[in-house]
Amino acid sequence: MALIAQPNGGLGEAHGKGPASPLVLAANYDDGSVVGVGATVDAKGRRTAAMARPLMLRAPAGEAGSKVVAERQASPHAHCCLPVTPKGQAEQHVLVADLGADTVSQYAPGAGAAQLHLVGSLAAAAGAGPRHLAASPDGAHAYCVCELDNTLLVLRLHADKPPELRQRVALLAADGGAGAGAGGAPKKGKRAAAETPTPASFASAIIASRDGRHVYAAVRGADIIVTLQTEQGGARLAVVSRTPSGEAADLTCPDESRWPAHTPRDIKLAGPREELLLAANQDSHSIVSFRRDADTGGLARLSIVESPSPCCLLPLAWPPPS
Amino acid sequence: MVYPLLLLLQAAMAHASVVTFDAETMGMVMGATAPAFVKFDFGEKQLDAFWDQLGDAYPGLLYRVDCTQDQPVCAARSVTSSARGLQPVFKFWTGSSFRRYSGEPDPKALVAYLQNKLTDEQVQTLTDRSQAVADRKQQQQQQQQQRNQPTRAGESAADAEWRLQVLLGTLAAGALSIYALIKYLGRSPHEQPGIFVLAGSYTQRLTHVDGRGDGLYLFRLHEADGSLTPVSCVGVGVPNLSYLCAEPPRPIHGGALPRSPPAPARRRPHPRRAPLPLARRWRRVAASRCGRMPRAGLLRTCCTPALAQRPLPAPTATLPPPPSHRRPPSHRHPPTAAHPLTATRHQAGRARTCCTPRRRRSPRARCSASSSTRAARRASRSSTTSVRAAAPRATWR
Repeated sequence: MALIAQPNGGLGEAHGKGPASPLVLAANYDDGSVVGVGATVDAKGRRTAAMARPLMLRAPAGEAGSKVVAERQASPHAHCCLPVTPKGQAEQHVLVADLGADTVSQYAPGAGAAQLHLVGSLAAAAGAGPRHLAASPDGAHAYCVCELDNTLLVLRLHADKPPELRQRVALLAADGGAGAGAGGAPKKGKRAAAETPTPASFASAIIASRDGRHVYAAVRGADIIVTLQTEQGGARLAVVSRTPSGEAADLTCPDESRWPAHTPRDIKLAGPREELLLAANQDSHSIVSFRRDADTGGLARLSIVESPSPCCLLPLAWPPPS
Repeated sequence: MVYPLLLLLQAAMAHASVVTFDAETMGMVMGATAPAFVKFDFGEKQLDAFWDQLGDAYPGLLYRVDCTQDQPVCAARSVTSSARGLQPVFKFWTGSSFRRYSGEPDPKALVAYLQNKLTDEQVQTLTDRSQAVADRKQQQQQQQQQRNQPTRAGESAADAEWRLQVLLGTLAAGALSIYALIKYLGRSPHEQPGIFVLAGSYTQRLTHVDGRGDGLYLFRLHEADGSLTPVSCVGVGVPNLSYLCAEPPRPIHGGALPRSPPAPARRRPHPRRAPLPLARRWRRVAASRCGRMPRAGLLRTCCTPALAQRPLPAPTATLPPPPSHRRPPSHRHPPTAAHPLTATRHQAGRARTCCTPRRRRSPRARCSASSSTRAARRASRSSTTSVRAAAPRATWR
């Protein structure tokens, strides 16, 4: 069971009938369900390290995959769930990106304890494979990166209607790669041109800056981080640049007959003003940091550190904010 | 009787000395009735120290004649070195005549001889004389101290003030040192304020990734230059951490902070309770996959020589290669004709095997996971392997 965990920050408390502690939402890839796991308290009301029994928030959807990509979409695969508060609403909703069903579903707190009811689903393009979600700071829009067709969906959120598709942005350049302006890392290997077919890229992660001005998406295969600028209050996105997530010098492969890769699986913003962006390069076993220009959103590479097979990052301020 | 005399000798050794005998001294001695004990030296120095000490005990009684320098004096008393070689010759003046000492030149024998020769009255006289000399010297020292007293008093006041300042400074420095030591021991060296980055890793070699990680890695992020310094790593007993989140709620993916109502009173932290140590607080960082919390000892330092800071390569202006040169990431999926993307991935994967050969990890590079953690990891690996073997399925996630 593969889970993607997201904190919801008190979903249960929002409608007053849930568990006493905030939940950690988890999207189950294998069966498409969503569960909430809360912490427990002891007799004195203090939090303990033990986790409560998971609550089934979204039941398994059964055999309802889009089956466009048979290998990946034979059945629903909930890949990410994101708690959002739609603009003008007081209660939190939950967005669920289902890679297998090609849908982005919106759930609202239900009448029962710790249950969700479906507000509506947005059908993405067939074979798109919605993977990760991010939300604008005001909760008016959500951004969904699709793994299988490398697109980014701009969704407008409503309290009582399903997400509305406002824009579809291609993350890759027209040539299918990083684009001429990306300055991508040259790949090693003399057999590349002769034996490699059209490359396949798979979008992985997406983040939105706290000021709502920029959105970043990582694409594996192309090994790039796409910078997008928001327009019209977050209703539209425009690609600003495509930055390589790693350089050829980062690859320690001594054998030129083999293929090097970076494979940025996760990206995160860090720093008090989110002036840094971190990229976890899974296959080059490194974490690369970039300086982020808050005005233009541009990325400038700063440093790299070895980290074996990184796949997720979590910046934390210490001491934690009270 | 001998030993009290020796004690007396020891007590008075610092107050008197032996008078050197010459012709004038000999005339004075022989003109008086007081006894005298004379040592005629011929070069032998063994008894000189003893003779000096004995002279201190009997002031004005003992004398010395250096026959190698003052031969007429020795010749006048018929003292020659022919009989005993270089050994000294002792003679006792009784007040009227000289008596030659015929015993062995031994200190005890000499003291006994002297005691026999001196009457009790003479001993008392000599003792009183010795005491008087000692008292006089002590009185002179006291007078000298009284003369120096005013200067010393002024110096003592300044010295006392200076010593007080030194003492206060030492106490203050000691208190500060103890305070700093307690603060240092009370917190981990890695708990300095700043930004840390947790990185979950693939720990298993899967079809789509060569997992080399050991679990959860912790880095300190330096905001100035964006560099990351490895701090520690820990095996959490869960393979292939795929996502991390933290409590309390914080923006994820750049989203707004969730609105949560005030926490119930019973869940508020105790006001007098000290903040939890870093390890305990971050133990609440949720690890995905099964919702389990990482085990204790999250921040246990381990040696990670592989986590070295790599120098930043020189910037390059090289443009990316054409698309045909790029590597598709998912090369290990089974071939299928259902979708061109899948087929493409598989074909590309056959061309690309693996960048780095089989994972190589030295024992030192592994996390210091507990035995229970390792056992849990092994169990998880075995169970995962068995499940995958029984029902192969898509693994690119």
